[in-house]
Amino acid sequence: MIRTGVRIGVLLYLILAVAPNVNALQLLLVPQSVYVLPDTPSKFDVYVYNDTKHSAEVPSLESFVATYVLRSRDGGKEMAVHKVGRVFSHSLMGHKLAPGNAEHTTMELPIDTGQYDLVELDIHVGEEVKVQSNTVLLLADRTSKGRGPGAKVDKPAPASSPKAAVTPEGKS
Amino acid sequence: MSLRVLPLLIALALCLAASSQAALFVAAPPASTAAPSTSENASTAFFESGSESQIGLLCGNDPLDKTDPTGLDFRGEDVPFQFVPKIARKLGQLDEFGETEFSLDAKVRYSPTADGFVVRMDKLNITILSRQVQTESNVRGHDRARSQEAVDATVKHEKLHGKDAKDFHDANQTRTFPGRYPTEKAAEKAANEAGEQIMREFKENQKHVPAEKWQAILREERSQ
Repeated sequence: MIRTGVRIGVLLYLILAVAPNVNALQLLLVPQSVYVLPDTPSKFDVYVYNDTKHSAEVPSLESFVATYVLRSRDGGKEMAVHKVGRVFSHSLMGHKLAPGNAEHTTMELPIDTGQYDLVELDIHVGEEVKVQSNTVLLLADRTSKGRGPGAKVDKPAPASSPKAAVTPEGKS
Repeated sequence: MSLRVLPLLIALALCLAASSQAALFVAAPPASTAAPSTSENASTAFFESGSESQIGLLCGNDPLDKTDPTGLDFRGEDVPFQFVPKIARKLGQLDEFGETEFSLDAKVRYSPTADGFVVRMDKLNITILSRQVQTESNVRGHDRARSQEAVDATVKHEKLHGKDAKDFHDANQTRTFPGRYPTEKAAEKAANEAGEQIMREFKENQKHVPAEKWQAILREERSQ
């Protein structure tokens, strides 16, 4: 019994030791604002982090492909997939990232929300070896233009609130 | 928690502090497929200045104005060439004398039909954002000015990249992708793959093929 347990333990250790480290690089996508404004590119911070004990090859962050789909608040969605890519006439070489280190860059993306309310977006970098980011959820803001990240956000009045119920004449 | 995760957490905190509106994450970062390297020649420090890329460079300073909302025009053919001693790439390197930066904006739609969903291109915008030409070359460790003929050849080279991109743009405006998909989910997946295919094909489109079209220009560029 003990011998079997030891064998299983050794086997598990060997599997873990020789298995490729698939978590070599983490690509973190962070929007600078959750709102997507009309005719205004959305800005993102992008971090790539080497979560291994070895240097890892990082594809150039200047060339990327973003993927987004549009949804409405009622659960409907646009029957389309959007791809926004930044491509260069000559492939950009990657570089090494030391273990435990991270790099930061920023990028802007034109996002056309049309009549939809929500944007579900992720990016990936690299061609042969792709590094995929997390997915972020953004809100389409069709009511204002040029609202900065620090601007005050007006909360919509609920339908049952006094503000919504009272007309200019005083009663609804 | 490993101490190695600390820099990332600090970065995230700084980023969120800079923004008054928090990001909504709907999924955790998936695993990368990148293989670890055993080479130790890198010493990229966290937040080092060299790792900051330029928004203007990425987006041509004004990406929206250069976007074609109808998807019918190829934009940016009038973008001027920037002549620089060396093309600065803070991330990555170049082994060429010129560079054209493109923005691709593709929308792949899936629609129901009587016998399943079909996938087709709904919009494809391609825009030239920037063009650079190098006026110096490095020969055996020494920088030296390139001849005017060589620089002109690089301009020709990058214009040819632009022409190839325009041909690609025009050829794919009304593209349909083969196959019928029984469910909406399968069709969405197929549309996503079709979008990836377009990106891959565009990169292939930029790879100096057929060779005979490029040979003379490449030779001229390398003449000193």
